[in-house]
Amino acid sequence: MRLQAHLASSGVPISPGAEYSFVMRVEQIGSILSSLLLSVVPFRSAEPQPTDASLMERLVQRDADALETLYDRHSRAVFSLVYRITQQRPTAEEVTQDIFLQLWRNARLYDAQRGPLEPWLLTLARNRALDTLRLKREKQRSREDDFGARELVCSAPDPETIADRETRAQKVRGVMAELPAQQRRAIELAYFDGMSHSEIAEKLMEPLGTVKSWIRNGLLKLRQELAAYA
Amino acid sequence: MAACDQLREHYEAYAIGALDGADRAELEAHLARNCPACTAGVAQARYIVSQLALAAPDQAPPASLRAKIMEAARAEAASPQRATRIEPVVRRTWIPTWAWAAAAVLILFAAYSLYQNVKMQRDLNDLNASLDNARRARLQLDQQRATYDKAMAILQAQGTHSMPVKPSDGKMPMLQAYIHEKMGVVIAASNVPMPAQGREYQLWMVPKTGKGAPISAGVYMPDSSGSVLAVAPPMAKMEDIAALAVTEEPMGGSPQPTSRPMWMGSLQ
Repeated sequence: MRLQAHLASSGVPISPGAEYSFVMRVEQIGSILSSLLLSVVPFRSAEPQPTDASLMERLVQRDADALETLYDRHSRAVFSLVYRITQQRPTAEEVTQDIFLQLWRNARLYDAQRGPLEPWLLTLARNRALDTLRLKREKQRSREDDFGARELVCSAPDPETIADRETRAQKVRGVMAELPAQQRRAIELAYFDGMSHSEIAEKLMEPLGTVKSWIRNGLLKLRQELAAYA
Repeated sequence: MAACDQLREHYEAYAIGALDGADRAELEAHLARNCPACTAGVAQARYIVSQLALAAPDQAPPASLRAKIMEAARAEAASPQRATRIEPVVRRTWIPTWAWAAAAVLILFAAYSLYQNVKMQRDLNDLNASLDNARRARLQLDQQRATYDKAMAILQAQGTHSMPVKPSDGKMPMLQAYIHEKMGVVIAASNVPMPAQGREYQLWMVPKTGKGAPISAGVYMPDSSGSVLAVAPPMAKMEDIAALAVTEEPMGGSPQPTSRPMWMGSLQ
């Protein structure tokens, strides 16, 4: 029991009733060994996290636990984005709920071949949030941002070049912070407010060509910073 | 591909949704044609654009939202009906194995029932045919019996006299006629060959000169053993009849003889 308590406090998952089990599974032995190591060497994670793709497959099999994991992994990024766009908490909650329940109901429509889940989910969230703003431009935009839509296809960079989200967030914010205020504003109006080149030019009272190159150069800089598609 | 080189500078603007006008239309036309260069370029730009989401100020969603979403999802997982309403394509997989088994049993049972039904119908048809045959045979027997009874009555009656009816062809057997004034005529013979195909024997009562044309007294066929037993009622006053004659006539008989008599016998 002392060992059990030690393991529990060190964060090793122990299934209830394990202490009554005479047969100890290999993984459990592994867990114990790694926990013994943990007590000596700082260790990052005892077990590998399931990939988004495998969680999506479990979602198709109606595995609600998989949805829980996906929600815990992505809801904060989704909610932050949607709140930034809509500027209203109730609307942001509504859109976030809508996105995750649709993910749950239409998981089979997600095609892992067409890109990794995170950028796909963020693109979907942005489109849905912009929809709720009912922009004047709404009708010009193609609203077929359904799960199978080509509008959501994001090419996956080399997985090894993808840093964890916190690192990437720092880089994105760093790039944005370094940009001149007007250029940063132009990109924000395009991304968070869904404005077109001409609308941004009008709003910022800048030449159209300038706005175009601001946005393109800003995104190319971000691409360089993220070291994607080197 | 030259066009793609010019469109390349629009990938980022298109991915962020800022591109408008003719450039947008042109790029969309390329994407609609699944242009590989533009499709790949836009997909990469879209990934970069998606990362702008991380520039949004960090906001944690309320815990109540997680509870609400998970409650709804678990409720749907527990009741497949709701799930199938949303995903009708998946409905097929909800047919349980026992339903397939039951369907298979039903199909087998239906096939067996059909087979039984057809078989019984066939048996019934056979049975009906046998019954018809039996009925016909019995009718025939009844007729034979009636004929026999009548013949016996005539043969045993007082005042019946017999006479030979001679063949015109010497190879044919002699017929024997038994005549009663009131009861009629019995013709009896054996070893009578079958008439030609489609023809049968017809008995005629030939009146005395000046008393009219021959009178038909019925058509007859020998049985399988060649025996003939025919009874004819008195077709006229027997005293007016000069002779009995038998001709071969088409099936069903003729109103008047159409061939020469094969047998002929004069009444005294």
